[in-house]
Amino acid sequence: MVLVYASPVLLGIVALLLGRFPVLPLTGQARALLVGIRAPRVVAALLVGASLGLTGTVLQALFRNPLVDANILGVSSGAGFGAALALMLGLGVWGVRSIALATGLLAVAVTVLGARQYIERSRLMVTLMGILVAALFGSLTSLLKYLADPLDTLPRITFWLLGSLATIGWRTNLFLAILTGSGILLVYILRWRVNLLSLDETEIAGLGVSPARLRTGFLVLSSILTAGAVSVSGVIGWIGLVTPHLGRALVGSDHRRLVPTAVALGASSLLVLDTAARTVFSAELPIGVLTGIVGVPAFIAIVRRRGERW
Amino acid sequence: MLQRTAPALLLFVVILQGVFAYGVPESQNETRIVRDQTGREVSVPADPRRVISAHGPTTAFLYVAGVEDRLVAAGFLGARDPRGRGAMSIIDERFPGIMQDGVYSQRSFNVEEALRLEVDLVVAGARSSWVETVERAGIPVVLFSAESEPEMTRAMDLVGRIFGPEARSRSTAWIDRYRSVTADLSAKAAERPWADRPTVLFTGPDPLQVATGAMYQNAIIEIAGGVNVAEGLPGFWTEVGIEQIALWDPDLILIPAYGARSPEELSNQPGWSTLRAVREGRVFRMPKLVAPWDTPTPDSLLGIVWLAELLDPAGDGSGCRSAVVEYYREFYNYDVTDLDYFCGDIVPE
Repeated sequence: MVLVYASPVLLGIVALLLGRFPVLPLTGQARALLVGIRAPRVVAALLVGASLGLTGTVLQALFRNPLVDANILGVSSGAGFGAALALMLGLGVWGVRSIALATGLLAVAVTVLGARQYIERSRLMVTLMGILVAALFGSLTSLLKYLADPLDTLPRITFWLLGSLATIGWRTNLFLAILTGSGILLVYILRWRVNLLSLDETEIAGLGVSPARLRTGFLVLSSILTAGAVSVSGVIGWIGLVTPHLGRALVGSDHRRLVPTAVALGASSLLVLDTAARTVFSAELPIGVLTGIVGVPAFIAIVRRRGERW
Repeated sequence: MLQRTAPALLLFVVILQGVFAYGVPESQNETRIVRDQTGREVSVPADPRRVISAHGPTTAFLYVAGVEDRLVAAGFLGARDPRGRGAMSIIDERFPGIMQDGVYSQRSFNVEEALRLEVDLVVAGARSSWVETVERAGIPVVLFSAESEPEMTRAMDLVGRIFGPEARSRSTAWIDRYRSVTADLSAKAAERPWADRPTVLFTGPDPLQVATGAMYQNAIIEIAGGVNVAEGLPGFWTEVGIEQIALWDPDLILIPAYGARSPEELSNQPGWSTLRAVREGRVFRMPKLVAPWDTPTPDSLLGIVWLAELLDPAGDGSGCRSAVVEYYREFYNYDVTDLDYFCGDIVPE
């Protein structure tokens, strides 16, 4: 068990040694690449993976739905639209990230407002609203891709939407660390309450917790964490979906143990995949594609082994 | 009687000859069959007068062939930035009015608008999705697909064959110049063993996207006497990590005119700043006037000349300067002023 919690750190050290460029002998250039390029990327993979694992777990508990991942409220689609818009306006890296963050949160706001009368009563309606909002932003993104200059803007939009940790530096990692760190800390403190999400309203109230506030709180937290991660890394799917299932296979459904496990597993799995993406071939494989190719069979395997128990 | 009728008869013959020389209006029925670059046989008017170009690169071919006055609407490549716009406005007084990128492109074609404009010919890219629809409306469509040197000369030759004798002479002039430039430079490059050639990285719209062996940029690099470090990669614009670039350690890094970052910005980014090419100041943006010099358009001739002189240790820019001035005067009737922008990066090493 300790191995699972220690795996992000251990794998992180190994990942620092792997890459296209040999770090030994440690020349000046090797050192610069290690510190300036590889290390921030390893840290970013751990932080984004942790964030995805965390939000996937919380959202699956919130919606009591094993097929939920961060895009359930349209966050990823909204952020994708914002990034495409920013690229069409010719903005720089931070402009793209800010607008992606804003539109990601906007998508969540639209979903929540659109389904506000159902938040207490029907998870299905909220899920449906989220799917619709995601579809809306997806269509708007397609429109932008249609209008984009095929010479320069369109390839850059496509590049962004496939997801990439390649351009994350130390300043961005600081932002990610603060965001993800606070999120993990908060959820860890409240991890018992995540268990409560699977209970009835009356049972929750009976334990002295406001059900509406509980749900809304976790919803807002997950959305901010996801929007923050997606605005930086692009759309990286499947980690948020599969990690909680893997966690449950290891430690069961008690969120007091599941939350830290999912965080560790999310961090480790994204790190492994991203290291493979940047090392195996000379061309860089888009991380969003790799997580799908690996994540889907993994998900099938887990589901087949555990059957209905999730 | 003959004395009276002879002049009348003579006059009649003269008038008749005049009628036959000028009087028969451009017959809409006079057509010619051409084979376009996808192998289709298309029946085009003998003298197309109202043409739409739904493909930026092909529009460039029309301008070089001197038949831009026949265009009623066109998509353009590289005419949106201030320099390109400014130049195009001088080259063609109808610009930017005839720029209709949104209406006519490989992805969309407004047939009703085209019919309203009484178009008699459409030229388009091979990947256009609307060809059948437009042909059913009775407008012939000729498809172009110039992505390599032989295809470039065939495209220019096709333009010459479609648009008549003046276009023919211009297109032949271009083809001759292109062939002679590429042959000369290839011969010069062949004298240098592969291992001695400078290695070049051609970045794309985003700095981490690089041109592979399948791209026209690869041909430009090889003719100019260089080696493309990313030649063996699959795909077209393929993404790589900065570590891979460090491993390749290119001698020269090129940014296209449409690349997102300037050489200064790129040189300051983490990872890039450690590259030898950056430290030695060998990061350059390829210039352009209208169509970018690295895209498969006729102006790429200048891209080849520019790069060849850049890679030549003794190059001082004079070859580039004279080529640029001559080319734009001959093929665009345009006088280039800012030669430092075009050839200023080329200095002897």
